[in-house]
Amino acid sequence: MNLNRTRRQILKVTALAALAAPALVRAQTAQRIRYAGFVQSEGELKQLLAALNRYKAINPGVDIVPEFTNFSSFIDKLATETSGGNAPDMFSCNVDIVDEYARRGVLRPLTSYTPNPIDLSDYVQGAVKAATVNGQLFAFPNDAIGPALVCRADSFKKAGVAQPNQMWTWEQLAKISVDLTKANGPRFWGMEDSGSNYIPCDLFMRGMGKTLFTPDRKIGFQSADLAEWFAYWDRLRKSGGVPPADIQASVNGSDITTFLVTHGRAAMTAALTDKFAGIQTMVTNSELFLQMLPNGFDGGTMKQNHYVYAGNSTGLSAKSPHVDRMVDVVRYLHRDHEGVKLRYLGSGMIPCSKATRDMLVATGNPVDAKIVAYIGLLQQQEAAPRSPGVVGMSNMLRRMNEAVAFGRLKPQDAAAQFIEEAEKRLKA
Amino acid sequence: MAIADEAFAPQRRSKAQRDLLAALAIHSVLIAGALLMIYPLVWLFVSSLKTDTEIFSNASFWPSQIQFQNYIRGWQGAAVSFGTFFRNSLVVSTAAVIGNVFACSLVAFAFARIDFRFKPFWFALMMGTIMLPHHATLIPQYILFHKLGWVNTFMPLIAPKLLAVDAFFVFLMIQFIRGIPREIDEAALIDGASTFMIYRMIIFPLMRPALIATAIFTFVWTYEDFLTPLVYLSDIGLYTVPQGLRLMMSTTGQSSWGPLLAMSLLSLVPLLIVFLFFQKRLIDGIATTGLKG
Amino acid sequence: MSAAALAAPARAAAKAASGASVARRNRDGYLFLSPWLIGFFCLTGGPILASLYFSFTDFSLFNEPAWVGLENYKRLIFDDPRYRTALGVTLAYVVTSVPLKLAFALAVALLLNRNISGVGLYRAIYYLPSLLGGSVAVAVMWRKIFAYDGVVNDMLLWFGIDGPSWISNPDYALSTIVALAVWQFGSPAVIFLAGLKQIPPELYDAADIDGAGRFATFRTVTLPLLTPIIFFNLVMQMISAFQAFTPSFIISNGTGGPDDSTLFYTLYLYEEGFSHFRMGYASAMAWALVGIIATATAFTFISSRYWVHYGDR
Repeated sequence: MNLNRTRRQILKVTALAALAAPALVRAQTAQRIRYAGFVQSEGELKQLLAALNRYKAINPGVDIVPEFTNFSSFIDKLATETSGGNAPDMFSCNVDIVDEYARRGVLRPLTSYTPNPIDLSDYVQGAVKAATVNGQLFAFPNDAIGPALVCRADSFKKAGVAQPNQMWTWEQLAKISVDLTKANGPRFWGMEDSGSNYIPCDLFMRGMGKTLFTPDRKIGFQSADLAEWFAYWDRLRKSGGVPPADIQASVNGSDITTFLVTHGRAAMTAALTDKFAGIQTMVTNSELFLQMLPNGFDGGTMKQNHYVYAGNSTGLSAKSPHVDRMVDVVRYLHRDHEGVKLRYLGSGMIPCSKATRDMLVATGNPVDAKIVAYIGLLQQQEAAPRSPGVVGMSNMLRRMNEAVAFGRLKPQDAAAQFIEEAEKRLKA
Repeated sequence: MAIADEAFAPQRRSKAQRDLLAALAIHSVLIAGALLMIYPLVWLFVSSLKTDTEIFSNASFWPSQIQFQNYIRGWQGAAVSFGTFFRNSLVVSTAAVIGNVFACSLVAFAFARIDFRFKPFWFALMMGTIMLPHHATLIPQYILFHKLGWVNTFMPLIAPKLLAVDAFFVFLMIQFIRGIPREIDEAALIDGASTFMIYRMIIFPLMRPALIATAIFTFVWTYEDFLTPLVYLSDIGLYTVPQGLRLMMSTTGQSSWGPLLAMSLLSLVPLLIVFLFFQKRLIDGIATTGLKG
Repeated sequence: MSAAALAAPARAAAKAASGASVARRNRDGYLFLSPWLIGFFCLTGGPILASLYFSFTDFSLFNEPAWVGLENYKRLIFDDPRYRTALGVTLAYVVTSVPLKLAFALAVALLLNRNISGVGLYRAIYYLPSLLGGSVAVAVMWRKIFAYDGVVNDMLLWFGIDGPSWISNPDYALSTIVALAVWQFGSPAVIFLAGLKQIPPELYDAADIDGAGRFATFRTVTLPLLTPIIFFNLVMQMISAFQAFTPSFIISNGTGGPDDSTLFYTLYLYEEGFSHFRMGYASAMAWALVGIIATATAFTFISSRYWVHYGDR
């Protein structure tokens, strides 16, 4: 009797609890996390969402609201939301966002979350360093990218030019470019004009034992060095190694659909490795290969200057209360076997951790394998990480190079103006 | 009589001929122009039948092989079906049209027909609000809407339209109302009509062409607006069509060009329907309402 | 004549009637104005004032703005060559695109106001380019047409002309943007069309009876009655041309290139505010633009007294 009554009571209580349970869970343990960011492709978005949904399924009470869009839309939206006091809880960062947002106190320092629960020891160290500001880690690197020349094998073949040695010089690049132009006929150029691109420019400076910007946020070169950079491309323009100014200007920065290599009008272009797969998808009539940019000058010392870093890292908002949970989401995406499979394999993104990269190669996509091999090559002799310069630097360099290309400024004047503008921004 | 007939007949024929020639001339000019206008649509359609890679690698105008895969892939989308984006855009644009037509016409009536105190001041202030580039107010506006709890809802996209914030349309309607002879409403005033009755019974029907133009533009511009939804809508399920299109476009990586162009073309369909629907009423406009009332 | 004579006493009576109730006019006026007043005081006015305040500060999006007085404005005027470039590009765009677009829109509106078969279809087709707006697809297509190996140059090649790269040559890029703007003439054309529809058919009948020719009718009936709409389109196209933003995304992906030849005012403003985190400076730029537009608009309004004819006068 007594037992029966107790049982009935228990049943009643359980039933009530069951009814109230969802509400209770929502009130007490529900964690709503806004995860914003940029993706490189629709396919990558699909996979990321699948991984997040799986995480929600195995972690009841956690609600992750994905807010994804493409890169340029994302940075504008992030700036507005952050300024309006409504920053997302966790968000994608590139090197420049990490630097800007960490210095302005938007990002949360994360060093205490390594190596436990997130062990970064087999990550590309350049990426970890690039996400480190004033000795503190501010973002977990998601991928690994590095500067490269993306080259069309068919154009090299046609010109009878062999793939250059990885330790080659800027003079050799100039010569090969002219040869490739000559062999491949009209409306075709050996190399795209990279005078507007600050990463090759940084490598050029490193070839001279200098750097574009120093780690303590100063200019690391003399005016004459930058003038030589602009003059280098100007000479190539005149000798036909790179296209005339107005044709090069039709290439819009990082938009691969405008690249001359994509359209079969140039044999080589300087780009980051994360563009390689995208370009190869569009280039159906030739195989592409990755080649290092020159690592020095004739008669100078040769040194591997290419740094590997992350194009996409995950940072956490300093104001968000759900820190441990968010770190766990990152752990799931980076370290959990299932999460890694859902997030990375086939997404076109090259993971930052060695273990995950090996897993990727094992799945057998030849284009991914090429990128992983190239990243591995750069890792053999690690170069010093890139120092973030000033905001708007890429646009500044582009303007100056175009001013030289269109004959409005002399290389010396363009260099002087770049330095003047950069110094103003460094002071701000 | 007979002589007169004979004298007139060739002239009449030549007038008919002249009319025919004129019509032919007009049509050929219009068709030539139309080709220039329709080229993008044809390009979009042909390109949407190509594969992602062919759009950029193939120099030929025509696809090597016709396939409708892009429409299927585009509609399915990465996260949510494109139908969701259409639904969101239609809800927002329709609400904006209703808001603008009524709110702006009330305000325009005040400026065009009522002599109240400080009118020039308010008018100048209203015109001033459209001179400020909206990028400058983006951040404070965001803070305000965030405090109101409107972020990630359609409110920031609709509420301003209900409150005649868009001075463009107010000014447009003012210009139209000022084209209506004042005698009509003054006569009504003498007959004892209230101000609201004059607005409702006389001005509102007579400014129909302006209202239709407002409806068309409000719909199209709200539908196409990218920045406001980008900033205020976070949940992918609330995205509008332009945001949905951007999801397919990567500025740095691999864009899904085929689906993107297919959905770009499809996204024009509601706009074309709205335009054709309203422009028909634009013709009926004054002809049926007339000025006699 | 007779209508005016008839109307005169009625107008006097109405004046007397309305004059007797200033209070009623004020009450009605503000009641009808109330949607906008609420919108202004609750939604738009605050942010507008805030941006005016920011223009006197060093606001960087993330910091507490600190007052810097006229510093931003001083820099604008004396110490920013790119600002001058942007102003020059924008003025050139306004001066060329607005008259061309309006002339084109008016011509097409007159053509499409006729009673010809299939006019509805023509209207839709002519409005098409405007429907495409600044969409991604248009950007891709525009580049395909005007690139060095694009459709335009292929056609020029038939005549033995090796054309330049229209979109990426500083000498032609802005002109290409103007062409794009003129091509998207649909909105002012629809407004002209609406204006033409509002002209009472009785007036055309009267002109017909008077034996006026087609051109005379256009000059004495259509054009004067359309002046309020011409005025509206002029003012609005001018304001929006000063604020042009998206066209340069189509040409240069928003960089303002090549060599700053498409650096529009608002594009530079946006770059400074959102990419370089100098919102204080960007706000100063915005308010300087208000000053410029207001001056241009004020001149247009003053001139309108001499050429715009309202039916309510």
